[in-house]
Amino acid sequence: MTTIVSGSGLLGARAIELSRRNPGSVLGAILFPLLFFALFNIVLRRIMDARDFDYVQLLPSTIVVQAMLFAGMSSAYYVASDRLSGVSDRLRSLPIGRAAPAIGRALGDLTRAAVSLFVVLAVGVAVGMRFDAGLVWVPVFVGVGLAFALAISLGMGLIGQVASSPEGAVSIASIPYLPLIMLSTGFAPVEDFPDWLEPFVRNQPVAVVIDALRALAGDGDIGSTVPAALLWSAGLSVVFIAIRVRVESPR
Amino acid sequence: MVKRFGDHTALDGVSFEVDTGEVVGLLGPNGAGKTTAINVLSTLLRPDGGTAHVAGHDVVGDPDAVRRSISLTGQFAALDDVLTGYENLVLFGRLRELSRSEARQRATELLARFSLSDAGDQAVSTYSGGMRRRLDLAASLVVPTPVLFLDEPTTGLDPRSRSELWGVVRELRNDGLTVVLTTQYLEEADQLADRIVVIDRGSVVAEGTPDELKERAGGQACVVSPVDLGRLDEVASLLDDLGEVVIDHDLGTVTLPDTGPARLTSVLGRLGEHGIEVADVSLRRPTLDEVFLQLTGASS
Repeated sequence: MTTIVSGSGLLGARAIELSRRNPGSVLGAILFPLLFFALFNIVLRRIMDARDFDYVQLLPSTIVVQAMLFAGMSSAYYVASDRLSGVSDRLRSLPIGRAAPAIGRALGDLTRAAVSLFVVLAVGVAVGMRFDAGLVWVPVFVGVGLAFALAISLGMGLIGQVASSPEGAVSIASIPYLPLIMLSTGFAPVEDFPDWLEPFVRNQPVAVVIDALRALAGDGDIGSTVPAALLWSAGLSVVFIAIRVRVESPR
Repeated sequence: MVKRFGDHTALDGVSFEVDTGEVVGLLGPNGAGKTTAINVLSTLLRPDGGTAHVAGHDVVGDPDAVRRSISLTGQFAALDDVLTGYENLVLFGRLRELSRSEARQRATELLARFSLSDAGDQAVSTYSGGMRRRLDLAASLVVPTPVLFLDEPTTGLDPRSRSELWGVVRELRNDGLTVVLTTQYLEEADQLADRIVVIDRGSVVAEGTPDELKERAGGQACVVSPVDLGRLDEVASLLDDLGEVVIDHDLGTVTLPDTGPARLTSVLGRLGEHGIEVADVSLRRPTLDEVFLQLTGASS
């Protein structure tokens, strides 16, 4: 059906336009990751450098994943606001294919995520991050980041499907964010965590994706980390889509 | 149609037909099932039982064909606040497969038709309630479909915006569209609908033209206003045996339902005998309000 393709494209363009007109959204996509980058560099860099944890090289991967999480969170907001404003009902009554609104939303989120990713990468490289494994891995780096952003966007969209207000959706969406990003190897090496937490810190999706991005930039084994990261993103996406289909199918 | 939400039966076998080109009003109190009925007919909800066809297509069997035949204007103005009125219309035109230039041309036309040309380049967030509603309706007409659903089109509007919107709906009828609208306002159904389907607790309790429904509530009512409002109760007790009188102290009237012209003389005779001076006496058809209360009053 041609309409699902054009419908998704039009709704993707709409999603981008809505973000672009929302100052908070633009700041969140660009300024927020940069602020984190700068602050963590200022606060922790010397401590970490003294312990051979090369922040300039390792931190950008963390900030990229964080930006992907933020991009996904905006999905919770927009899905909830479409649902509550009646826009999603109107879209569902149009002959555009049932999946078009969700695909459009995902395209918008991915665009936002891509903008954040490139901003972080540009600044990271400017302050000294290097792709020691070779520049051929840069596109893979981008792909692993965006695959994770898609999974998060789909999951956060589910929150938007059930929340009672767009603001409430964002509050709920931000709950998993802190434990996932703090209990990871993003800001501190795994040895810094209590023993009983280490398995979680090593294997939870945020940590796994951060490891893969670092490997692609030259710190770690690409062959083992990248497939693990992609598997996490794909697995989460499939689960979230399955739930979404159940939630959205006409009752 | 039957539709249940858990233990609650929202549609309990509601059944009606709408002819091509007809404007039908689904009238009922809050929670009667009007919106649920519209949502089933516009394929947003799947019925638990029964069948429904829209423009000849089964809502369950061929929802895509139904969606190609309908436009839905829901209870809330379903628009993007940060986009301009013009951009909203262009988007819906494009989603209905107009080319970019067709969609732009159509958006400009519709803004003019709905008196929104001046506001077309402003963000919808700056619009008044009436403007939003008009734009919302315009968004449903970007590509004319044979069937239009309007769910409570004037809820929350001030009287002026309401009558403007009524004018628009009347034009749509003149264009030959088939319109199904829901409303809690009897006056609105009376003004707009060729035929009214009264729904209560998920089923149809009455159906007919506004005149037919009024007829059902019995013949004409006699309304008496005494000069001395202090004697309202006295008037009521004098007429008590002729029917179920209703005293309205605010309006200063006593209403006696189902009074034929023949009984009017006996009413006036009794009042005269007791020396009650009458400021005004009239025969009138029952209002839809009275019909409505009579039809739904027992249950709701």
